[in-house]
Order: sequence, then C-alpha cells, then structure tokens
Amino acid sequence: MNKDNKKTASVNVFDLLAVIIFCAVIFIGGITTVLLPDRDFSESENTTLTTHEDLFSGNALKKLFSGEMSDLAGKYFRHQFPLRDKMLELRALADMLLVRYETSGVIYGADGYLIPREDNAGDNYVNGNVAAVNSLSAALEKQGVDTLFALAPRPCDVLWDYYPSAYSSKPLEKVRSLILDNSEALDLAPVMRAAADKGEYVYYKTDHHWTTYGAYLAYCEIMNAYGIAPKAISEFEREVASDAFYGTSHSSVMSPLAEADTVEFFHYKNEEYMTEIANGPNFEGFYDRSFLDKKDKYSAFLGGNFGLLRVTEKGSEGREKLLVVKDSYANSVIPFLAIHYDLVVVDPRYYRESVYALAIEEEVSKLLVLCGTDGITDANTYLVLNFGIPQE
Amino acid sequence: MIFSSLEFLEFFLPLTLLVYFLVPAAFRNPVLFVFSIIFYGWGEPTLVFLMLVTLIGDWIFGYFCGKYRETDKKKAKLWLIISCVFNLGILGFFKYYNFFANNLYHLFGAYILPELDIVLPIGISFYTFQAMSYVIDVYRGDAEHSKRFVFFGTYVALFPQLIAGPVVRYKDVADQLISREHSVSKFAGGVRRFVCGLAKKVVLADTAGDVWKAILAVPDAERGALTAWLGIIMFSFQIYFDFSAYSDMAVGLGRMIGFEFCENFNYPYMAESITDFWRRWHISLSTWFRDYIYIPLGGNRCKPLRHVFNIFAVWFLTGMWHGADWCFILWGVYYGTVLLLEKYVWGKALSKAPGIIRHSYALVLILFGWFIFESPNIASPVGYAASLFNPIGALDGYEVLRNCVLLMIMCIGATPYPAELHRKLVSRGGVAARTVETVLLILGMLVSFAFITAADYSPFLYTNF
Repeated sequence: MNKDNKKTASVNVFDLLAVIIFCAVIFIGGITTVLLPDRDFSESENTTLTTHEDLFSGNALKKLFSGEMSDLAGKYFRHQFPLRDKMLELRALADMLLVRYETSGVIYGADGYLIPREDNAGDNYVNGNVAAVNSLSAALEKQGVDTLFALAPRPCDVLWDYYPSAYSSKPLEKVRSLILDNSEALDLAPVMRAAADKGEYVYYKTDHHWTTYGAYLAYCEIMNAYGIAPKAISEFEREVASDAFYGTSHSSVMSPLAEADTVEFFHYKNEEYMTEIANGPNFEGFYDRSFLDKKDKYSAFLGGNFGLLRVTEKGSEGREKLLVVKDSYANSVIPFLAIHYDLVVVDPRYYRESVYALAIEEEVSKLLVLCGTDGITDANTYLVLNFGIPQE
Repeated sequence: MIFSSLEFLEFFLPLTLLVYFLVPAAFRNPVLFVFSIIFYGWGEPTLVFLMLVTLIGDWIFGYFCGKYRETDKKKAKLWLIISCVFNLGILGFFKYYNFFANNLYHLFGAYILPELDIVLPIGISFYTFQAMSYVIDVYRGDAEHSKRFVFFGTYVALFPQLIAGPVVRYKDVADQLISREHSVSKFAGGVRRFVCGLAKKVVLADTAGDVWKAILAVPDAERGALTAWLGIIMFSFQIYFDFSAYSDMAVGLGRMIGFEFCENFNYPYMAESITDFWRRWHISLSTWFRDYIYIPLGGNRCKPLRHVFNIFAVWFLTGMWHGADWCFILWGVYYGTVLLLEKYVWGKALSKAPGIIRHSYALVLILFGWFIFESPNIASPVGYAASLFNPIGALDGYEVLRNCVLLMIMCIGATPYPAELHRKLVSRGGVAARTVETVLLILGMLVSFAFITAADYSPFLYTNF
C-alpha cells in the first residue's frame, strides 16, 4: 500500500517526529489533566470549575446513563486542561493575527480600550423598565419628592473615538433613544464622550464601568441637575488603590497584551462615613479593600451590590435623605453623593420589596435612579419598582 | 462525543490507541468494536441498545442473503426486503415519525397520529446506510457474508466514521477488516490529515459559523447587502469546512489504525456546474444513492420521462436524508431540477462558456441552495433575502473588513492549490519542506486546542442527519 518506505531516512525521521509529537500532546495533556490537582474556581471567568468530585459525586451510574456524565466530563476536560489560560490567550492572539478586530464580541479599541459590542442589544425589556421608573417617579413626585433618572452609558456609547474606523455607532443609538425619548432621563453619555474624546480616563480600559474620575463627572451632572454646586475636583485627595485591575471585558478576551487599569479612590477632606448593609456587615467609609487583592477590584466600591444599604456621615444627624435606585455603575458615585446627603441605596436586582413604601417610610426628599443602559436592555430588572405604588 | 473536544483528544483517543496497539493483532477488531460502542453511547448511553439491535438484525439478514443468493433467489430477495423494511423502519420512526405526524395534522387539522417525544439518535442516517450497504452487497454477491459478528460490528460502528461519515461501503473495507497494514508513515499521514481537519473545523468552520450567527441576529432592516451576502458566504464555508473537516478527521483517524477510507470531498467549490458539484460534494452519499437507488431504477439508460422520474426520486430522497423538514426536500428537488436542466437544456451551452462564467454560475446556484438548506434557522427567509439587496447597512464595512483575512484564507483553503503545493514541496524530499510541515503540525495542534478551549460546546453540524 505504502511504497514510500524505501525513501531516504530523513523522511522517516519526520514521520516519526509527527507521531511522537501527536502522541505526546494527547497523552501528556490527558495524563496531566487527570493527575494534576483540580482548580475549582476561575477568577477570570468568575465561575466555579468542574472538578473530578463533580464527576463522581452522587449516583455516578445514574449520571452515566442519563448522559449527564458526558456533559460533566466535557466540562471537566476543558476546565482542568493545564494550559487553559495560555490557550485562551493564544486564541486572542489568533484573533488579532487574523485582523478580526474583536474577540468574543469585545472590540480591540485604540489605546488598549476593550469595548464590548452592544449593537444587537434588544429592546424587549426597555419599555417595561422605563415605564416602571416613570411610574415610581410620578408617584413619589406626588408626595413632594424631587426625582431624577440618570442613564449611565455603556463603554460603547462613550468611546467612539477609540473604535476601529469602519465601526459605526449608529445601531447603538437606537436603543438609547428609545429609553431617552420615553423618559426624562438625564443622558450622561455626551459629557463622558466629550471627556473621552479629549483623552481623559473616564472608562476603564478592561471593564465596563466608568473610572472614579468618570464617576465624578457623573456626580457633577447629577448635582447640576438638582441645582446644587458639586464639589470641585481640587477638593479631593486622590488615592491609587490598585494599578493592576483587569475587569470584565478582559475576562471575555483574555488577551495577553491587555493593559492593566488603575482604580482610584477620591477622598473628600477628612470626613468620615459609615456604610451599613441591611442584613450584612457595616464598615467605615465606602470601601471594602479586601477586593483589591482579588480579580474583581471594582467591587471594592461598597463591597459589591446589595439589595439595601445606607450611607451616613459620622457625627452628623438629620441630613437631607436621598434614595438611590441603582446598579453597579452607581457604586463609585455613592462616595460623592454622600458628601451632600444621607443615602438609602436600593439595588432592584436584589431588593424584593416596595421601593415606594421604602421612600415614604424613610421620608426621603430626593430620588435618584442611576443605572446602566445594559441594565435596562438586558432584563426586566426594574419592573419591581411598580411594586406597592398606590393605584388612583 | 465529537472529535473537536478535549475529552476525545485527551482521553478517549489516547486510551483507544494505547489499548489498540498493546493487544495482539487478533484482538484489535474487538477492541475497536468495544471502544466504538463506548464512543457512540457517550452522550446517550441508552442508544447503544438501538445500535446493537441494528447490528444484530443486519448481521442475521446478511447471513441469510448470503446463504440463499446462489441457491434460492426468491428467499434471498425476501431477506433483503425484510432487512430494508427493518432498517428503514427504524430510521423512519426515529427520524421522520414526528415530521409525518405533523404533516398529517396540518393536512387534516387534527392529530391522527400523536406527536411523540423522540430523540434523534446521533449518526443514525450514516450507520443505517452503512448497514444497508452490507446486506445489499452480500445479496448482490459483491461481498461475502461476514462470518464474525465483531468484524461486521466494527465496520458499522467504527468510531472515526460513525457519526458523520464518510458512508463507507462494506465491499470497500471487507479486506481491511481481516488484515491491514500498520506503519509509522501511515500513522504519521493519519496524524497530519487529522490535525488538518481539526484546525479546519475549529478555526475556520466554527468561526465562520459564529459570523453567520451574528449576522442572522442583526435585524433585517439594518442588515446591508454586503453583510447579508457575507453571511450566506460564511454559512457556505461553515458547512463545507465543518463537514469536510469531519471527513478529514475520519480518514486521518482511520489511517492511524490502519484503514484507508474513501475520500468524501473533492474541492466542491471548484465546481463548474451543479453536475460537477455533486461529483465533488459528499461523494460517499451520492455514490450510495447512485448505486443503490438511481441505477436500480434504471438510471439514465431509459426513456427521458423515466429518467426525469428517477432523478426526482433520488433527489427527493437525498433531500429527505438531510433532515425531516420540507426545506431539505425542497433543497433536494431544487438540485434535481437543476441537474435535469443541465442535462437537457443548457448543459451543452454551459460547457462552451468561459471558465469564469461556469464557475460563477455554479457558485451562485450553490449559494442559493444553501440558503434553502439553512432557511429553518433564518428567522425570516424573505426578510433576509430582501436584505441581500438593501444598499446600506451601518456595520457593512466593519463586518466585511474584520472578516476579510479569514475570508481569504477560506477561499484559498477551498481550492486544491495549497495541497498541491505541499505535495510538490514534499515530493522533492527537501528537509526544509518537511521541517515546515512539522512546525505547521505543532502550530495546528496548538491553535486548535486554543480554539477548543475557548469555544463553548460546539457540536458538528452534520451530526443531526
């Protein structure tokens, strides 16, 4: 069949080499996957990994016959492959080499900005969410509460100057105008975009949130809308809390060439604040610094997201109360707002009671709804705001 | 289990190869049989029983066909008919029952047959056709009845071609089942072919598939012509690279364990007519339909009207083989019609046209074919078709630009030129060429592993047929 056997020795050497390389990869890869200790959590993906305990826990025979075992084994081999992280980096490099402009739906922008694509964000949830925000606002306004709805832009709404030139922001504006046209929302995109155009660091390069400076700009816009002068930037002492932050966009891409982000805390004079999490820990100030040693450093702001928390200034009582209905974008804005108000902060993703009743009970004088655009497009999170609003 | 998964590459394959080469030659077929059954039952173990029923049934039918074919033609034919009813009955029930029940429902407005919760057994269309070819070949005297069940079982269940072909015919591998050569150079050839297929699947086909999916997700009104065409082209590349990669991997794996399977693809997108395309696309299936249906019906050596019937019968069935949906039948009949038109109307004129015209003609018709084929996955085929003529879409330039390198690689990869160049360089025996080849092998494996690790579970397109 194969008459090439009599060819020169060099040919056979390369054949032998091919066999050895292939077998080495499949045997060594397999053996190390099975024998090396399992990793049970991946910080970069923020998920638990499948370990061999998952495979053999419970009724293994039943799992085998239901086909569940094969799913688990597939995950096990992908999750525990010893070079998993290196492989992900190699994939990102391959995308760059193929000039694909993006990996996993995240665009490689100029200056190291990783920009998640949102041009296919649907509008299924928009009307429901916006209507809920509107009706809460209307109901509270009747009770004399001053209300404001501020819309935090996504990185893709801000970093227009950083796109590849062929990319167009047009499809992005459709969903945004659906939100803006149906509410009296304060659009924070223009001010952010203007700053980004000037090269200012308003959004993280590797995460979907705004930087603390970006949060400061948002705070200024919000205070201006309330008709109150915001504090000047010179009044803050800026602390670099971490210069090794790799955020969510980086997790999707895992590019070995990504630049780390800097997380800053802005301190206003020497005033002291308390953060009290309902059914959770209390701490001084706004920050949970233990997150600075972990991957998800943005969670240092308020220690992440909680259904209900309160922020007060130490030693001062009876300040004006502001109710903030928010998602994670607001976490880095809270320290600025706390300079002016005692805060009651609600995250509707984790709060299952009537926000209206809470506002009445707490006798707040202002309501701020501060949320990300993706929070409005991606789920019906804000429907919970309808809860407990008195019917006419 | 699919080839482009780490559990196959890091667990099943090394284990199988290890056991296969450690046991004495006499045990190698039984080892392959057992491992193939494990491979098959991996996702849904209960389906193993169905496969064993098919295997045992066809082995017995083959025995009787062989026993009576010289002495009692009638009895032999009876057993053949029983076997066809048996195989098509199983295939028909699992694959087409609900389709049939639903059509009756639409016809009469009521469920005459109840809809059943049936899981389509993976690879059933492929292995049923293989098992049928065995009984038919034995009946026709083209092959001898396999005296040992394990050999027959190995032939049908052999894991390299079990799930997505090629549809190997019994008479082509009967000798190899009894004895086959193993050598380093053959194994190395298998490795190269396999890795090439693996890279084609995970780098080209899956990426093309992602692009296609993303373009499908764009609302029709916002999708410009450039993007819309890019989408259809990407799907065409996806299905070609996916399916031909599977055949490459099957041939490669086969070679590692000493088998030589027939080729299933011959650069189909180089075709210069639809007749030509179907000589190059999924060759083993076309051959199967030709030898077991078209020619027995009389082929083209009959009156034109009968020929027209034969063509439509074969292409109706070919379409239906691809799936229980009217779109596949439409797709088959579409090709049957074009083939007839080429035969009776414009074939002669076409053959006189310049090459570029012939090639473009074939490609446009093929693209249109894939559009029909893929239509169940397009939310609104009419809306999509309209977007093919929509002058401007906001992201047209971006989508084309970010895919153009990939597109160029796929265009080149769909031609025979890279393989020819490789053959030429290697045949000169240069150490340099061999070194480059080895480096490419390593790179191919690395990149494939990277894409597999990065991708979520990505099943082969063709495993559902």
